[in-house]
Amino acid sequence: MTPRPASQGDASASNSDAELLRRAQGGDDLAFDALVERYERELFGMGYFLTGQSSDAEDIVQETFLAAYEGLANFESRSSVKTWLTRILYLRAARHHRSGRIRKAAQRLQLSEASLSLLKGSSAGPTVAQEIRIDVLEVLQSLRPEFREAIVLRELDGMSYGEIAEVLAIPAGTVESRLFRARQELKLLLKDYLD
Amino acid sequence: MDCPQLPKVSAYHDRALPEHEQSSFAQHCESCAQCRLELARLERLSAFLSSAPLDDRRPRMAFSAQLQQKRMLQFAQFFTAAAAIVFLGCGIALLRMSNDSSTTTQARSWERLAITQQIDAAPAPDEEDILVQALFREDR
Repeated sequence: MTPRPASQGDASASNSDAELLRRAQGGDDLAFDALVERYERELFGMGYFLTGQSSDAEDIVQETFLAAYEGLANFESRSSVKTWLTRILYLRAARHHRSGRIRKAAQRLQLSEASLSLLKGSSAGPTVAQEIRIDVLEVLQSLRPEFREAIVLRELDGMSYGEIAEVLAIPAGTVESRLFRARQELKLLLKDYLD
Repeated sequence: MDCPQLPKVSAYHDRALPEHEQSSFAQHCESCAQCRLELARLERLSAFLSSAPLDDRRPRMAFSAQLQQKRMLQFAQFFTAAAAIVFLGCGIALLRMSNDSSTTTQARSWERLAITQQIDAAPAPDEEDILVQALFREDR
């Protein structure tokens, strides 16, 4: 375990990911903590939608940061820090899928008024994010894991096809076909509300 | 019959088609009601999904704090292992010292033996007794 340097100073928000990572690789734990603080909420959200449970999301995000910390020396900056962390998170979420949790059987969804408004093309209103979050989670849990991963990375995280391909370690063409098929499933699931 | 361009709508919606295809597909959509309808569906679907932001909730405990705890635990494990090594080292050193002191004892026993031999080599107390007894005899 590398000791925390005494006088590196605070890792400010203005530091780039690459700079923080370089310092963390040099043994500056504060720099790594700044990266954790920068990405913990986003990765937690991703873990939450991938696994469907806050407690599972906390577990896999903690494992992600720990694995990243232990693997700092091996990171060669060929991808962005965010893609690297997301890749580690994805591998842990995939292990979580394999560990026995099966996807929720498709059933008739009971969506909130706010979600229905969005699906009909209207505004949802400013105070209903929590209701929509629950609905989105329920919809995503009905998808096959590989489709869910592609949709979370694209629609919720806004990653490009290239970044998704890097995270999932699949060709960009496969990303395109997975997203297409995932959307076909989603349309089928939500056909009562989309048409 | 479905439009053969329909499978492209998903990638067009994501702006993931090559640039020239992106603009030609936009032109196609102007004349194809089916693709336009599909595009509208995907846009509403995206509006719904992206209304659940990833980062609007905090985990119960900050991960940097969890990581710090883990580091401290690892440090404690390291410290315990180091203490065990020191303890083991001290034990071995004590054992060696104990062996050294056995050698000293052996040397002392040799010394004792040497003294004993010197005592044996000295005039035997029996001779003094003999002299004393002789003197007593003369007195009589």
